[in-house]
Amino acid sequence: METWILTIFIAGFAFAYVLSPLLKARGTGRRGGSPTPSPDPFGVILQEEVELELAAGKLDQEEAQQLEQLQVPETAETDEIELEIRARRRNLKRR
Amino acid sequence: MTSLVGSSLLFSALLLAVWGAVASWTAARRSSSPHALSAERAALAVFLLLTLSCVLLVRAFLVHDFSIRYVAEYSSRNLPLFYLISSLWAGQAGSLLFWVWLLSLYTVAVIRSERRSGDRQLLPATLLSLHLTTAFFLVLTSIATNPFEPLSPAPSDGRGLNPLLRNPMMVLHPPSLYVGFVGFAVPFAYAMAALGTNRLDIAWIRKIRRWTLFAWLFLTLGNLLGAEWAYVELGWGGYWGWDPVENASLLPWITGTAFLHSVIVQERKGLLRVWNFSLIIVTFALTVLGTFITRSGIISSVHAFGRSSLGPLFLVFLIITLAVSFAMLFRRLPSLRRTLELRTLLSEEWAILLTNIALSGWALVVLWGTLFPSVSEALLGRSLTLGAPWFSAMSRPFGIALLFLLAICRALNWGRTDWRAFARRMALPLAVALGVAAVALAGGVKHGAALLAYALAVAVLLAMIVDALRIAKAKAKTSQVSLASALWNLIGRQRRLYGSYIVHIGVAVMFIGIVGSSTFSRSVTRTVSPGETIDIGKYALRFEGLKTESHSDRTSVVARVSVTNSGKAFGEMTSRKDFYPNYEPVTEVGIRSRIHEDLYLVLAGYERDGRATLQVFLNPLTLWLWVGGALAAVGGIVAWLPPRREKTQRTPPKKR
Amino acid sequence: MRSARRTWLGAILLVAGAVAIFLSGMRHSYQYFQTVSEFAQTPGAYVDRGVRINGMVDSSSVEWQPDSLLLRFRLTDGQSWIPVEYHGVAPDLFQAGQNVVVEGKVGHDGVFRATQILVKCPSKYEPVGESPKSSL
Repeated sequence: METWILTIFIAGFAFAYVLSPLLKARGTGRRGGSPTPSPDPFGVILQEEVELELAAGKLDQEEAQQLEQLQVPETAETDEIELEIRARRRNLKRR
Repeated sequence: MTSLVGSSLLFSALLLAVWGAVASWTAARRSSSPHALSAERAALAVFLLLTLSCVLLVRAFLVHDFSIRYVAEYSSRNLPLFYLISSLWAGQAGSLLFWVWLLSLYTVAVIRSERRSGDRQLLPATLLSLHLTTAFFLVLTSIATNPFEPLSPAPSDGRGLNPLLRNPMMVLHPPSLYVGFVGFAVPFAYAMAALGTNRLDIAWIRKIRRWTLFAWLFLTLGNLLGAEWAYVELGWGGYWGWDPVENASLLPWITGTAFLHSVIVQERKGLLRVWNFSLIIVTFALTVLGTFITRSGIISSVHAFGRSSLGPLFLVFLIITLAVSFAMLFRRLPSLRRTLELRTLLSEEWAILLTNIALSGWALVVLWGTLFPSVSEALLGRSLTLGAPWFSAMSRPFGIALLFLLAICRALNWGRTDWRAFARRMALPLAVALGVAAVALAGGVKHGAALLAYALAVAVLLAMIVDALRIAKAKAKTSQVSLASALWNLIGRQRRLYGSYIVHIGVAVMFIGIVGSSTFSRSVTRTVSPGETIDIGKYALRFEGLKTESHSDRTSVVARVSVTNSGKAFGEMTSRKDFYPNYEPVTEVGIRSRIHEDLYLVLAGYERDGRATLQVFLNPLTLWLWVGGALAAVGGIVAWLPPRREKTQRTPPKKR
Repeated sequence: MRSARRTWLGAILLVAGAVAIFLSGMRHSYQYFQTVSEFAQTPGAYVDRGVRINGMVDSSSVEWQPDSLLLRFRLTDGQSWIPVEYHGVAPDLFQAGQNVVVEGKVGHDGVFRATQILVKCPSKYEPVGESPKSSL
């Protein structure tokens, strides 16, 4: 019994902290913008690796070109658009 | 009081983890950033609450609060500080708390690294898996085996730590294994996020690279520490007995190693996508299975599985995890499929594919052998077991195949390799390997498989060095610097590549140790009176007599032996039996490690008349197992470290 | 395309070969895992066959000859018992009343010749004394 009282007490404090972004968001209707992505350091390293392998004869040009094409994101954009549409639809419904 | 607060903390953490899962689900579905922030805060809150619980439990150990059952069962007043702290993970309940604390720490670390990277699209969905896993383990710790369970009346002293576990190696072995086990939850969560949000491109593969490596590194260390512990503490002359507990921690290591390699094929060629998802799902499931087996130690019988209070819960969690994640994978199959375009057998991607087949085959064999008693009991109604010799015999071909692939892989190109170039690159390693085999044969090594393994291990060593230098030479040429500075620069910059050279050299060295000690080990057992000698190899061990010592926490019976090597004095060795109150006796062995062999002494028993039964092992090359393991760990660290930044600003990279 | 088919054929042959080796290895290696009573009912069925038996060391039956390194004891489960001979050194935790697993073969004389004695300790992590649950 005491355990439950104490649990409610501790969890209460924690939830006040955890739920506050939701309560605030309802008030202002704010939707956080996505920050600009920083360049991926690993991409730079991979490119260096490829250059090295080309120089050492471990890779031919054909492979190197194929590799470059692979690094372009595939589904990210379409998905982003889809999510955006979904979010707007929901907002409309709410109004 | 401690019990009350501790349990409340765990219950609160459970509630928050459940909310975290709900919030991250909503955030992922609706792309709602307030929910995402709430899920992140929930992770932080869970972490803080669990940290407090761990601190509370450690404090209970330090102040000898025996009104907590767990403290009374795993510590006593005379236990040194070091072991008091490590008692946190000495038993089932505490180690599950430690497990889930680690998971919450990983979750917070994932959030931090995502905040830095800027691209946070996968984060909410990733948090969903992590929160769900946390919630499951919190159900275990807060309800099924609560480490804060009270004990009334409190005893005046605790039971003490099992003396077998009073060894520094054993203190570090479980946590490093756990860091490894839990670490695989992160790549698994990213994989699920990629499947769930349909972001199936290269992004998740890149994000998990270092997480996977980190988990792999600690799993490697954990397994090595366990082997070393068995070697110095269990006193049977070996370090790996293929028992279910050992297999349980080896299995995710094998599949994790396969995963580390197969993701490279996806990164470089866009292939093996379905395979990569499957491997990480299986690896995660194996870490959960491993956690269960190492905690309960039961797998020999299905009945025992059902009898443990945790068994059914773990089984349900495993089945749900496997079913849901493979269902998600199945749903994305049409967009994942790529035609397997492998141009020739002589290419790096084929070598990696074959490595993967070999590793998976090995994992299947070990899994089969480990579960065989349960499976046969369920199907045939009688329990059949497979012993250590079966595991060793089955593992041998896989070991040879892996060594062979390691030896040739660096001489291969991506895509297509010219036969002549391949032959040119392999010439030196092959020649030296044949030379080594010839020398070993002349030196009296008649064991075919061992000869082959030695030759291949040497070939791997050389192949790695040759290739590392070849790449460095190319770099030296293009950037017009000396070879040495090019090499130094590359180790700082191309850490993944150069770390892998070190790891693979370490693996080759480990193989030398494993083959030597498992194939050519000898032993003699005799009952001797003081003054008698036992001969083994070039050594003569003269038994000097028994002696009884009293310590604050134990009484010991020590056997002293003076050793001569080919007639020359070689110092003294001792082995003893320790008697701790409340526990059965424990044997402490004596080991003299040399470059080419270990002399290993066990006091197996003694009589009232002063005679002792001594067991002496001569284990060739065992030292190299530890050296190779340490090298592999160093290589893993190098590969894991973020690349050193160049001083001069590079031209910005082309659009990827 | 022909070369691709050939490589797949090769891979399948490789896997088939591995499975064949695997199964043939199994046939010679598995051991029956029995309790003392199960074993005592039909000891003849197990002559020259690898068996593992789980039981308790009968108190007052342990006989140890240090010179010839011969250990003799009776294994029991309360209902039946089997005489066991072991050439070698008993493990640390071996003692009368302890739950052990013996691995070996039974001879025509009905004496079980153990090649290995494993002391059943439910887990390295659990205290040794509290192991009543591990009775198969």
